[in-house]
Amino acid sequence: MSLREQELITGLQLGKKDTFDFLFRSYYSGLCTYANSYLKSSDNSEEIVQEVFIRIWERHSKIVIHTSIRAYLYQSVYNGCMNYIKSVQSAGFRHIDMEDVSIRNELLSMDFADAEFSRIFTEEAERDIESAISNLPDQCREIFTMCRVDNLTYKEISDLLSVSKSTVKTQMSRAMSRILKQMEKYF
Amino acid sequence: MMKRDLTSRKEASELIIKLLSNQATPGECFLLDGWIKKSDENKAFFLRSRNVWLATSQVIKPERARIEKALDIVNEKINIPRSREIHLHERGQLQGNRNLFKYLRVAALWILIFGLGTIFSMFFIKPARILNLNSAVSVIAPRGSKAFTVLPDRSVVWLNAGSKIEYKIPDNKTVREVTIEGEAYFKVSKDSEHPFTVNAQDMIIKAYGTEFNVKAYPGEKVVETTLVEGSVSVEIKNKPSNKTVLKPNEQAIYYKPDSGHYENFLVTKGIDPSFYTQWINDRLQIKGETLEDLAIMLERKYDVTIHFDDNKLRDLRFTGIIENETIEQILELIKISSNVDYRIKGREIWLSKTGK
Repeated sequence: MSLREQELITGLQLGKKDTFDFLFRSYYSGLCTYANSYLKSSDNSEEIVQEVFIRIWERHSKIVIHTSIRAYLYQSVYNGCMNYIKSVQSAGFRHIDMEDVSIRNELLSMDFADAEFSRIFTEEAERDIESAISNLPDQCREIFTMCRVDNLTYKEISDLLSVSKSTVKTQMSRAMSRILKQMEKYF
Repeated sequence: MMKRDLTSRKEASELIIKLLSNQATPGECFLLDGWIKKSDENKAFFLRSRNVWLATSQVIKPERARIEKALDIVNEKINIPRSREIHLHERGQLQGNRNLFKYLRVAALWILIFGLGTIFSMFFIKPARILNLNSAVSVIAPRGSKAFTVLPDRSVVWLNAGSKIEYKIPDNKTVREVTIEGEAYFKVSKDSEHPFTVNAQDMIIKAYGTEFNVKAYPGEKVVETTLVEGSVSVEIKNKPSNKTVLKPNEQAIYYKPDSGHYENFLVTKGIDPSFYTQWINDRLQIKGETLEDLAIMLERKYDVTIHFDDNKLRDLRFTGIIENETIEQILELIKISSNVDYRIKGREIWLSKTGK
């Protein structure tokens, strides 16, 4: 654990508002995008992330972080999302034809052990992914960013760029396989 | 549902990206699920793709304005400690307005009396005069709230949202007759000499001292009477040969002439009456209802208007229980369990298809 990281954890545990604000500003956007992977709603995602930060602030003196602040935040948001989905499911409401939410949710959380968080949510992984994305061919990078970052559908991307939907699909596959290759050492 | 299998890694990879970017249809999720569970190799490939996808969240470029706005919200909540529950209520604007509406309505419309004579008599004239006025009284439960009333013969009626009953103040206690549009639960006081009559569109129900539910909304294709206790006789207007007597756990259904249904009058035995009377307790249980029918129920219950951007959505079927949820929470449940998205503006709601 770096000195800087230790300093931040201590700051958080002591209830320093500037540390809290710093962490909020550093991680908020990424955490929202992450939550949206599960919740399919940017409003709900923001709300879950805000709740995680509120809880952290309210319990600041009791917080124990073994891994890193980053892994801790992502894990907390993950738990928040799962609890939300569970509460929705226990409300007894489901689509009768297809239990696609539970399938989707099962796939998204399958074998997602705690260790995973400290492996893929690190400064180093962030740098590696960033470089993998910036190394993509121009159109490929543009399409991947529109899909992942701007949360646009294939249809919207194909309309905006005046390319066919199958081009978008192909470029997405290409982007994914290149990024996967660059991230090989993480698996 | 698709029966075919995924053949190539390429095809699987494309579906995985669709799933991760929230664009896979239910059928595709199902297909992919089968592929992943087919071999360890497939599973490992999926897990790698998924983890990398999730990890890319970290490189999202921050939006200053959005972050500062969110931080303001959080700061406000940190400084004024409130319970989570209160946040939930404060979140929905509609909910806030709704409550106000609801209280105003419940206060104002418990009993709405038509006919000046009746109002006059209620306030200024001794009770004896009321009986002579023979005025019609209407009790209305507007969309968005229920009502409860006691009739002159001491029978008790619960009215579901968007319903109305009318009755005349009788000259003497021998006439017990009401007309209903919508849904009501009756607890009829005992009087074996004088039947209690309910006119529900084309259905006429006669009871002596029982409990039953009648559903007869003008816009709907069926009229339903569900018996909970005692017995009632049910007949169809102008068709006396159809007269039948219901026993507990039985339900009479009349299909209106324009419903296109072949048999127009049916009695179903062995039903669970609690399913049909749960609305009294603010519970809405849905068993394979189409989104179109569900929308009608929600329109009444929450006093909203629901529009379909895509007519295909009308046939989606849902199952579940709604209990004390706000309309936004229900829409959220629908959204998370299907490919239906929604927009709210005031009391109008638009449903549309998500993705693709």
